[in-house]
Amino acid sequence: MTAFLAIVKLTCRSAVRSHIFRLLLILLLLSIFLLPFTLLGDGTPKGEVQIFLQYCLGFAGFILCLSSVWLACSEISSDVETAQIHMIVVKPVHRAVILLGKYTGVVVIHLALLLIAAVAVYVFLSFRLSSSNISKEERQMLDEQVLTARALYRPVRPDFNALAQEELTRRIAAAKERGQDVSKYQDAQSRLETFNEIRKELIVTYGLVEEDDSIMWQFEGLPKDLTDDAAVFLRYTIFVNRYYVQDQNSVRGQWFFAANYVRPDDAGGESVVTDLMALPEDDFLTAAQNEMVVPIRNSYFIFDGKAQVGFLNKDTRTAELNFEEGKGPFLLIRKAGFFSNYCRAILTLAIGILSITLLASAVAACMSLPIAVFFTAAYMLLGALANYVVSSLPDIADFQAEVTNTFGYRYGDLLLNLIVPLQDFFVTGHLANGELVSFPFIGMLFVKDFVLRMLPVFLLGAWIYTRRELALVSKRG
Amino acid sequence: MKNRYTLFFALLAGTIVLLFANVFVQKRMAVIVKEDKLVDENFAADGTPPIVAFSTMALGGFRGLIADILWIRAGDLQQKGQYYELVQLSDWILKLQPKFSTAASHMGWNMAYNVSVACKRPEDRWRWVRRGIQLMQEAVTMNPNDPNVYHELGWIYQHKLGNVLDDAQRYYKETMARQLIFVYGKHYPDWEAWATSPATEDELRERFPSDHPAWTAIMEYNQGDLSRLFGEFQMNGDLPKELKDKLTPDDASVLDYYFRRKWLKKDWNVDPEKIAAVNKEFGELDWLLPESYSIYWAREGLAHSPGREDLQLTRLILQSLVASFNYGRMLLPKENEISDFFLLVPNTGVIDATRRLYKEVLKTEEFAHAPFEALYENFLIDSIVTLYTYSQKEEAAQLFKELRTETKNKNAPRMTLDQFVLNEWEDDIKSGDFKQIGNELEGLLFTSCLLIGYGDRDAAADHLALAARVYATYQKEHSGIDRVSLPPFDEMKARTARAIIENYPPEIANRLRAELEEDLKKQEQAKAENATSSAADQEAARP
Repeated sequence: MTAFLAIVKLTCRSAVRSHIFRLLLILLLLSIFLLPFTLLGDGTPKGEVQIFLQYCLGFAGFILCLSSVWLACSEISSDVETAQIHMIVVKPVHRAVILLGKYTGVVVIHLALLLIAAVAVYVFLSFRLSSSNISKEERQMLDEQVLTARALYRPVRPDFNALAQEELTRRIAAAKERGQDVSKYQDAQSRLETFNEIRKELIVTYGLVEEDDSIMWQFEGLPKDLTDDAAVFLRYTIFVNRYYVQDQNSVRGQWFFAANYVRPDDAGGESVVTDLMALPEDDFLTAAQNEMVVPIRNSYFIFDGKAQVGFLNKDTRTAELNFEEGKGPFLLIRKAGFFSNYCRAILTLAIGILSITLLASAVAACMSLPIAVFFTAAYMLLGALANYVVSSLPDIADFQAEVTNTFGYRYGDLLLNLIVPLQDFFVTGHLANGELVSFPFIGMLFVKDFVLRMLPVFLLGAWIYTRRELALVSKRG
Repeated sequence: MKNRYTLFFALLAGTIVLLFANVFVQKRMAVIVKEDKLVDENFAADGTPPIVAFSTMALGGFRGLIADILWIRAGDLQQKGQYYELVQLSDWILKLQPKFSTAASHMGWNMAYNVSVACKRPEDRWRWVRRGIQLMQEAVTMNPNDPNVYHELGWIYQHKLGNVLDDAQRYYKETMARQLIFVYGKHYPDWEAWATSPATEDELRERFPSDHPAWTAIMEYNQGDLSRLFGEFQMNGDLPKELKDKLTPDDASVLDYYFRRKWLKKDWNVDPEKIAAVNKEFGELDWLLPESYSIYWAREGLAHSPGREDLQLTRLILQSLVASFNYGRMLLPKENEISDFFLLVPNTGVIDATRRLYKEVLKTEEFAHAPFEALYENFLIDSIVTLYTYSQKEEAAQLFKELRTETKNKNAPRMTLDQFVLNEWEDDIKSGDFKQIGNELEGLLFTSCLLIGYGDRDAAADHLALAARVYATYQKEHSGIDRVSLPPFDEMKARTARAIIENYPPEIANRLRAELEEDLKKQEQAKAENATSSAADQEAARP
């Protein structure tokens, strides 16, 4: 244990002496104290705070990740290349302990920096908020939409498998009734293909609303003790027609909400009466995410943890409007305070630093400094690009079987499964939009990225490190 | 060996000849580049903005890649409705790729058109339109010789702000005017005086040397810190009283103009010299209105792209001039104070320039065709009617003469000016139904009363006279048909005036009340008498 702590201490000391580390440290300070003054927001206090959180914290996290990669690689590789490692390995310390000690040293110094950066950003934000003249209305908007932690609730999703199975059975029965050939349904493969087609069609048509027609969503598991003064937000994106049309147009429609009242009934008991409360007809921009406050009292809107929201298509210019499956509508309800959410976002960044350092340490354990830095940086870049490939082709592979698109999609998907995308740890977007960074999400990220992906790589690196011929490398150097 | 030497000397001679020829070509190329403004002279004069120079040098070829990633991010965020990053991302993209003017135009247009309409509140919409304009202003600075950027900027002013297609268009006009009048100090500044005032700090120091009393006053006020003084000036829209009291009126106005032109350049990127030149070329424009800025930028685009004139720019100037003619003067209830009760009336001062430009473009191959000639004829007709109804009968007569001689208008040769103007209205009267005529008459009366409210008595009298003639013609056409007969003219007028008095600000209401006091009293009296006589009739009729 003494040896381990000594290595940790030595690593921290050596880190502080590194020129590149100092340069990155200066960049970190600039990102916290200078960047806010150069940022251009949309001109609203809300936008200013959002961009401040997004960029200051994002830049600080990014610089710390870069710094951790550089430091882990240099601390581990350069010791081997300069033969300094021999001073340690001749002592009764296992090589795995050396690697772990160096990893811990790099992590400790970066977590400390992250903490300092987080405190500085928070204090700076609080100072800006307290010293700026914000109107009451804008302050309320800020508190309700940014300086909060809202959980996102999805509508109850129909059981598409059961519905598809039902439809398939109906089709077979109808074919039999008409005396048609049903042999194609008896073959398991073609039965599965038909089932998949029906399922896909059901998903695509699920959110379609024709003119003068309406759709209703049911939300469950909502907080039962929500007070009337807590704002509930509805987030939605409307598309035109059933395919993935990105054009932005103005369409007309009407939102309505189920309001539930408990009233005494004739039998002397109580019964629940449900009324529909509609908002006036309005114009909505398609292919753009919108958000609004649910305009009825929560005690009427949320009943026994359930709520219903509907939309009436009043647009005469387009054939049908579409609420694509997975793109809303969602309800957003405050679950925690901003400080708690801020701490969670910092925790997520910390997991990112732990994971990236783990990877850099593993790679540096078996490669030279430039190769280790290049490999880790390339790994991070690939992860980032994979996300872009996949996010820019959301459903296209389903609808357009173009070879290049399909290849790009699958390649991106494969990369995402193999590589840890750096941006997974950057939840500053959630923070800036007042969305809850939930503990299950953080836990999942830790298990998926740190435990299941990076730890095996680190263990492999540690194993190679213990088996590596170090003298040969030193001679070459 | 001999062959080798021959080849060597032949190559050497060839090289010398080519180099010599290159000198001539290079000279000629330099002349062409300068004449056709193929390099950014402004850029060279002011120096490349530091951030652009840094990104160009430091990032090299990676600039494009980073700009692409930022572009994708901007698109993604826009789809998610997260617009707050858009300004920053657009700014970075522009700085990374300053010469990619198409991208800049798209981003500016996107903010002014797409993002703005995603907002419900007019103030949010305005903010995005303004952001789009600011981005385009920067793009113009980075691409001073690209006519397309000027067109896009001018188009946002003319189409987005000037037109009536956006629900928030009145808010845009009001806010733009409010912001501009704060910079100008008054509605109609003396642009010529602005143009001769110091443009830079050096010029100001030349005017106020160290021993000048004005500079001594500034030193006493804040140790000669002009930046801080400029900050204070922007806050208050005027010089600090403490300093102003120590300056002579002339010195105060020099300092005032210096700060105002600096402010105008910083926020709106326009120069008073060029504004004065636009006024000289196209007539006195109202510089609170977006059409004036559209003309400014289109003219700038033409000036910066000689030999590569963009037809779009000429078209934009013409469209903006026509718009200025129709609604190019802002009447305010109280002088130099912007109110949401502003009234837009025709600016007849631009008619000559518009006619001249119409005639010029009609000579060009692209515009010399029948539909464009018809447009010109319609413009002449509108000008005649407008001049006639805005107390400029002589000018109307002049144009009427031109309509007779220069166009194929069928009515003009066989009518007098009075007949012609009335005929333009009568066409509507004869073809329109009872409701339409009522609306048109009410419109004329409303404008007439409003013009009184805004202090333009002559134009008000002309509108009233025209309304009376339209009324008389209608009554003549429909005499004896009770169901389509209009109420008495005076009653219509009094009703309109009362509506304005009840709904408009006191400045307008008081002016109108004072002017129409007699009429209103008479109407009230007549109304009361009617009520009494009908009550008496009813009483008499009771068994």
